Amino acid sequence: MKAAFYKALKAIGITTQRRFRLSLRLVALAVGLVAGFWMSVSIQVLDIDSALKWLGWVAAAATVEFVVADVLAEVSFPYDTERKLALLEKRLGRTVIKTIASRLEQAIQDLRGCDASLVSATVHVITDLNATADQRVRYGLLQLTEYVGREGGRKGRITLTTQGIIGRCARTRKLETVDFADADDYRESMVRDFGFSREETERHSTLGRSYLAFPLMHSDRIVGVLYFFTREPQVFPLAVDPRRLKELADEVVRYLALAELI
Amino acid sequence: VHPQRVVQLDYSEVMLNLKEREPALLKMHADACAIPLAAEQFGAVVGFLVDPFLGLQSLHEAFRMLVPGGRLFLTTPTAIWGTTLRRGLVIDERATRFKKVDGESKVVLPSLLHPPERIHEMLAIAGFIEVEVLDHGLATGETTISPDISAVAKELKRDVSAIPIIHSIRATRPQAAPER
Repeated sequence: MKAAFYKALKAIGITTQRRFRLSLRLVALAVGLVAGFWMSVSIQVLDIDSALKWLGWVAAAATVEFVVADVLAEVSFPYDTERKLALLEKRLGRTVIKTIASRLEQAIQDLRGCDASLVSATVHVITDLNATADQRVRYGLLQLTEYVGREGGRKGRITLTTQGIIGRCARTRKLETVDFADADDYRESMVRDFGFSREETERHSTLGRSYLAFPLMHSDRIVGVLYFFTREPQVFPLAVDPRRLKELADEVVRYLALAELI
Repeated sequence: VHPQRVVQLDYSEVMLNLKEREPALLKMHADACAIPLAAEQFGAVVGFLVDPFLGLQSLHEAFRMLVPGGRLFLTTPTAIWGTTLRRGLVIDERATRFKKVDGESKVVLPSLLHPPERIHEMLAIAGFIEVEVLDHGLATGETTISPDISAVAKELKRDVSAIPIIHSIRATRPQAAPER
């Protein structure tokens, strides 16, 4: 549902917080103008009931324009995340990001013994998050590219290194895989093994059945995680050629190093 | 095969304890994707209608269980029949439903249907050789036909006896360890 919402926004060119807020305000303004017009017509013909109804629309439009638009924009496109992502994209350059995406696409096509059309992939890079109250800097994983493949998830998502299979990979610095028998198994495991609350898990898509996370290492430092998942169970790690996966990881690390991100 | 040489494994405790089940030395309640037994102990691994767990990991485990030269025998519904049927019923293509004994309620279970070429590929990745994936359908002249079969035949514009419904799969673990 959420993925479809962002996919629809992307289709009409709304990819930033500014555009999202502006679009909501324009819609609210248009609704307010139409409602205001009909409210004045209703007053002129002394139709008080209709006038009150149109007044309600004017009030709702004003609320959306000045309050809801800001709140929704912040929730949907957190400014801090967007700023970090914009900085990363600027330093990497769009061509490099496209190249990384095409390498991921190739890696999906190279998988063996599975339905490649059900696989999605992306790259997460380690990033520092705002300091906590006790002044400690937390680290998270910022999704660098939109999902390549089946799912339409968007870039810019931040995952704490204490959460999920990518967080586990960032901590262990080893290949991590996990399989789920069904959606219930997924939900249970996310809470029991992967550091998410029940509320957070409810917001996840539960269609994935097999997941793989591979560390992006620069010398002895982890700088990011390659992430693959599919709707088919039992795919990872057996569908992957370990040598090719390592080559892909090394290539992505070289790009990040060239952009002086690491 | 003498029952003293048979170990049965099932993910369902209820299925494992059915009275009608064949006698065996040992009945194990376990997952075919993570069998809690040491490797290379069995001359054959046999599975009937393995679609709930037919995947790379379960084949890898079957390979691990077999002694070099051991044989694998499986049956599973065909993708062409099962997927066409599920699309027609507008249900999840990777799940199937069974009627319970009471005839009223249904249970939905994972069911992974793969085309024959992918089954070949998966078995090769697991390390098997001499792989055969055979098609089986209704006998010609069969008159009692499930609507689940006739509906698919109609959809595919084929005679009911020309619809492959079940694959039987045979494969061998090579004598020497394969290059993985």
